[in-house]
Amino acid sequence: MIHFRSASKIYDNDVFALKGINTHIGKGEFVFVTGSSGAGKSTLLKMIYGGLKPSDGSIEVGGTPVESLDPYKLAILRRQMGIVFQDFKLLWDRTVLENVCLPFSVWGKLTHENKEIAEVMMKKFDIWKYRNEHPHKLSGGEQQKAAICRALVTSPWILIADEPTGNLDPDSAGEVFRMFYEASQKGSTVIFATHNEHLLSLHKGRVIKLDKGRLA
Amino acid sequence: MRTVLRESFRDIKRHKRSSLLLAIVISSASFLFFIFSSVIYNLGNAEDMWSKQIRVSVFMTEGADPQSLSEQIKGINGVLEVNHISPEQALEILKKRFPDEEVAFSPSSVPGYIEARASIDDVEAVKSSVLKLEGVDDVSLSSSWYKSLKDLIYFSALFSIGIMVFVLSLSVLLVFYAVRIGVMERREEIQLMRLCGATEWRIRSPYVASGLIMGLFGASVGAGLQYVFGSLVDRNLSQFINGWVSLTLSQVLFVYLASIFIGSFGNLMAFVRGADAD
Ligand SMILES: Nc1ncnc2c1ncn2[C@@H]1O[C@H](COP(=O)(O)OP(=O)(O)OP(=O)(O)O)[C@@H](O)[C@H]1O
Ligand SMILES: [Mg+2]
Repeated sequence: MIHFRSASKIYDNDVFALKGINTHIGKGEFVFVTGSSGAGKSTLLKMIYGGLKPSDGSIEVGGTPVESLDPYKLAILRRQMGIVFQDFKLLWDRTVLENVCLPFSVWGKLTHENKEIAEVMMKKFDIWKYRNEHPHKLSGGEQQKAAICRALVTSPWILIADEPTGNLDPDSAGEVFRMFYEASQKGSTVIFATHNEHLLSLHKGRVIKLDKGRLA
Repeated sequence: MRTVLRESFRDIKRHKRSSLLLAIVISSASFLFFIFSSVIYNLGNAEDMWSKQIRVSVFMTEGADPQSLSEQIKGINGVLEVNHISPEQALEILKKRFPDEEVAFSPSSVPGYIEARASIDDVEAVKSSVLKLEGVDDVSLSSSWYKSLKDLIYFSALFSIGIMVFVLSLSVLLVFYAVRIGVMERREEIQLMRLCGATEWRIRSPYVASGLIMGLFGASVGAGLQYVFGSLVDRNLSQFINGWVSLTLSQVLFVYLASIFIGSFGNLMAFVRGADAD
């Protein structure tokens, strides 16, 4: 499903964020990505959805190198993905519901059924009561829940989550892990970056550990 | 399509101040367009009219018969109109022209003459034909006056075109900067839309559509203003410029196209150059 072929990333300031990553993540697999701060977790994740281009090597998703897709094909590929960003990326001038439904409205599919899916999701995360509020009225954890809802509403084939539990209490974190795990049981591929030792201990599957940009 | 329109209206609503500014810019631009194209159009008309009204004043020798001479002049090719101005009428014209003149004109001191009209193309030929007639003393033409008028009209038209080009570029520039600022402000939103799988068309179309809406709105306001302005001009100026036309169909079409161009082109340009960096 996702194939890293000697992928490297050097940022403009000559920081070597990733060095020669070779790995494969299969369909329906749930992998944790871990490593200390600055190890390159976010960089790795960004390259999967084409937010960053590798300086060297290639990342293939479903057999096609992401870095060489034209904007239209990249857009279509991203519709198969649900992404939880480390910095949430919520829109401050829209309501929480509008934020969660953003993928649908961007695709021109803001239908009644899709709004109901969003409602169910938001109720699960206990943020439905904030649907008409703007994100700045929510706590950090609640904002993170909204960002998770936005990634999950579209039932994506690939779930990319960058530290999605960083602001959550242990119970909520466990719940988020469970939901992502369920998604992988249903066939979605999940890439989950985290520092959370407790979550790591819960999981018996693969853990990709990064150390200073290399696979450890 | 509906989403595009809805988005663009929301976009206009959300950025009330810059939208208002844009609307004012485009409205004034299209109003200026209307004014100056009207000026060009009407000057052209006036020029056309006056070119057919070149005066040929025929002064007669003593004892010549104005009636038969008038008939003869009427027969010359290119003569459009012939009037005999009797000494009394000539006196009236003089008095009107110099109302404050203390000098008393007496009918005997003012000779009558024949006034013919011809178009600018024929006037020289008419003059030489008239000079050949019996009883003609001298012929004077008003064509030099017409020539300076024509120059004046030519330069006014050139000036108007210059202003129109200037207004067009200025408004494209203003729209460009207004949209660019908008795009910059919303760079994160646009980036997020891309990350959620938005196509370029999906991202740009609301901007282009709001540009179109602004353009149409601006052109309509401009046309409305010009209509009001035109009827004022009509009421007050129609004695001087006969057949002043304030709004023609092609003018309206042209201004709508220009406004749409200003709105959407300014938008598109701003977009292409504003939000490409990811
Ligand atoms: N845009 C950037 N420009 C320059 N250097 C960057 C940029 N983004 C990240 N880096 C550098 O690349 C390295 C890896 O960063 P990355 O964000 O991938 O780490 P991370 O593993 O996600 O860390 P954290 O756990 O703190 O989120 C770091 O040394 C960081 O300073
Ligand atoms: Mg990170």
